[in-house]
Amino acid sequence: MIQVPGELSCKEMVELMNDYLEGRLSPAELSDFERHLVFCDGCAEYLRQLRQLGTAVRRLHEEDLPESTRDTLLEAFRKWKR
Amino acid sequence: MIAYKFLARGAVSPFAGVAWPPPSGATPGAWVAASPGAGPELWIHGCRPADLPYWLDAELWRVELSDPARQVRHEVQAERGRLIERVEAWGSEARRDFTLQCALRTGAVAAQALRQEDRESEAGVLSSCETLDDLAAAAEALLQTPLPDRSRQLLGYCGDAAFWGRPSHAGCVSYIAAIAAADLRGDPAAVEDERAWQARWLCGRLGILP
Repeated sequence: MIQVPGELSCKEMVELMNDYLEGRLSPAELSDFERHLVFCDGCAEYLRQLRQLGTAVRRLHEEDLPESTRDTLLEAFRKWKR
Repeated sequence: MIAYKFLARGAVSPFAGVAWPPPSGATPGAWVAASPGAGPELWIHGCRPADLPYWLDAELWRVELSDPARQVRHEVQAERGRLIERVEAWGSEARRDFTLQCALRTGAVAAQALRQEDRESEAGVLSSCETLDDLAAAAEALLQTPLPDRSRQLLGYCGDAAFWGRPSHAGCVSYIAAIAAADLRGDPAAVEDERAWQARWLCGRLGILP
């Protein structure tokens, strides 16, 4: 597919999702990002899921997690760091 | 200035999720303002007629933007905006017709590629398509035959355009048509040309002065 200046690929969109949610995109990036959402249901859905995830995580407290889940997560994070 | 704005169903902005106050009869809706101190990129966005194809959504509104409005690529930005009236002509029928036209133009692009490869009969099959089903069937049948890569790519776009055309996904199909035009010419500038055609179609159908 031809590369069009100002058109973001879905891969670039995924890389920019967090910056978009945190209001860190430049004006040009912001416009390009939102125009992509007009035609790409996949990226729009991914963004919706990220927003939902952010909302859910903000509601969670450490003490809400069962101990076994907390241990599993901690183990996963420790392995990931290695 | 007077501009246009696409909103999601219920006059909700598609990105920020803000519900815009609707007008009441001839009285415009209440002003919606950007957050105090926000940069222009976070101001209220509107469209000039030429910008319409880039921002398609369920509802189209005429809006008043406060002065001075900042004109940038594909949009105008202002600190405040308010709804004046809904462009009722942009409804399911217009969206369906626009989507069909964009899909058929994708077919015309693929037909042009086939003609350039001396495949007149295959091009004729595509050029005779009048519906999304015609286009999908023609593209699928031609893809079963040996063809150069460029034509295969463009026929793939035809299939995509027919697929997304069925739910009248105007934003997606108009984008496919623009990319197909650029692929045929091998020139990204063709995107702007195709978008300009789309803007003219929309203005003509919706009674908007270009």
